[in-house]
Amino acid sequence: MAFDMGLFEAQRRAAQTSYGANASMNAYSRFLAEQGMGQQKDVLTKQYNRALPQLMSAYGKRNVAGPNVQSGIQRRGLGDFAQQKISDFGNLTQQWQNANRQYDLQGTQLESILQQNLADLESEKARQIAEDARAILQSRAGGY
Amino acid sequence: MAVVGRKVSGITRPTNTGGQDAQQIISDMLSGVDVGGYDFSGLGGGTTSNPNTGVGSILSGKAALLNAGTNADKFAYTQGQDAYAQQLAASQLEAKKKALLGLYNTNGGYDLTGILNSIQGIEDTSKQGIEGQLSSSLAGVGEGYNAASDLMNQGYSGLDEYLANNQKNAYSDVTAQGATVQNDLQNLLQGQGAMSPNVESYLQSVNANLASSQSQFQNLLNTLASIETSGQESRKKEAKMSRTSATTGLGQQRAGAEAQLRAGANQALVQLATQMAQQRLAAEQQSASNKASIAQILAEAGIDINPEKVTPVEDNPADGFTFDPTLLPDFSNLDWLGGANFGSGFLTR
Repeated sequence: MAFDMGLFEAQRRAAQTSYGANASMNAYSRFLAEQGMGQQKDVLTKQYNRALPQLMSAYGKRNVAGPNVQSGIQRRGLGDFAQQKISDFGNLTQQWQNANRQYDLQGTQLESILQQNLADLESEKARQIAEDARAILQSRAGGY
Repeated sequence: MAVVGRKVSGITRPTNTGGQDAQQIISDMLSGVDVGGYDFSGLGGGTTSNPNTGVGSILSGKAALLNAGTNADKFAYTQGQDAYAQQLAASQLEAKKKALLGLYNTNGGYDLTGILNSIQGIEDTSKQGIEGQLSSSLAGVGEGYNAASDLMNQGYSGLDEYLANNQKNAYSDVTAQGATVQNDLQNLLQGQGAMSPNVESYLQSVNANLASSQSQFQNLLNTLASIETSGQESRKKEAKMSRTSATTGLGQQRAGAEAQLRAGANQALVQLATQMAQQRLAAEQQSASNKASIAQILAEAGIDINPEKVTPVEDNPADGFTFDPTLLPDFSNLDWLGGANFGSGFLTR
C-alpha cells in the first residue's frame, strides 16, 4: 500500500483520541475512588470519635475508670481500642493506596500504549515510504 | 594480295572482283611471283594440281591457262571468306574471353568488399545503438535509485527523529506514593497509662506493611520502566536495521537491474555479432560461388581458370574490342546477397 500521509494522521488522531478518552475515564474513576476513600475515612473517624467517649463512660460506670482511678481493665481496653483503630485506618489506607496505584498503573499503561501506537505508526510510515522507494526504483528499472 | 573488301571489326572481308584478280594472279605467276602455294608449273602443257582437292588436270595451251586463272580467282575468294569467318569467330571468342575474364576479375559485379563494409557499418551502428541504450538505461536506473534512496532516507530519518524526541518512558515518570498511619490516641493512652509496647509495635507493623506495598509497587514500576526502555531500544535498533536492510535492498535491486540490463545488452551484442558473422559468411560464400560459376564457364570455354594467370581485362576500343553484355551469360537472376536485405545502394558501382 502506498504511503498516505492523511491516513497516518487519521490513525494518529484516533490513537490520541482513544488515549484521551481512556485517560479521562481513568482519571475520573481515580477521583471518584479517592472521594469514596475520603468519605470512608471520615465515617471511620467519626465512628471512632463517637466510640471513644462511650468507651470511657462505660469504664466510669463500672468504677474502673475515673479521676485518679486507673485499672488494668481500662488500660487493656484502651490499648485494644487503639490497636483496632490503627488496624482499621491501616486497612483503609492500604485499600486507598492500592486503588490509587491501580489507577496510576492503568493511566501509565494507557500512556505507554499511546507511545507505542504512535511509534508503531511512525515505523509503519517509514516502512511504507521505503516500500514506495523500492517501487519507484522497480518501476524505473523495469521500464527498460 | 590485291583483295578489296569491307572492314568489320578490323577484319578485311574479301569481295569477288572477278577477272581482275585472276589476271593479276596470272601476271604474277608468269613473272615468278608466289601466288600462295599454288603450283603453276604445268601451265606449259604440264599438270596442274589444286592444293585443296589434290585433283590434278591436264590442260594444254591457252585454255588451260584461262581455266587455271578462273580457279585461282574462285579459290582466292573462298579463302578470303574462310579467313574472314575464322577471324570473326576468333574475334568473338576473344571478346567473349575478355568479357568472361573481366567478369571473373570483378566477380560478376559482386562487390564483396563493399558488402562487407556495409555489414561492418551496420554492425557498428547497431553496436553503438545497443551501447547507447544500455548507457541510457543505466543512467535511468541510477536516477531511480537516487530518487528512491532519498525518499527512503527521508522516511527513516523522520522515524529516527521521532524516536529520539517524542518517545517517553511512561513508567519512569511514575513514583509509588506511600502513606503511614498515625496513632492519634497516643497522648490519651499515655495519660491513662495504657500506652503499651503492643500498641507501638502494632503501629509499626501496620506502617511496615504499607511501606512494603509501596516498595513492591515501585519495584513493579521499575520493572515496567525497564521493559519499556528495552522495548524502545529494541525499536530504535529495529528502525536502524530496517533502514540498513532497506538501503541494502535498494542497492541489490539497483545492482540486479543493472546486471540485467548489461546481460541483455551483452546478449544483444552477441546476437548482433552472430548475425553479422552469418551475413559475412553468406556474402563470402556467395562471392566464392559466383567466382566458381564464372571459373566453370571459363574452363568450359577453354580459358585458363588459374586465378594467378588471369590478368585484368579492360575495355580497349583501340584494339577493336568493345564489351558486349549480350555475349555474356545472364547472371541477373543470381541471389548475390543470399537473401539478406541491406536496403538500396549496396550493389551500386
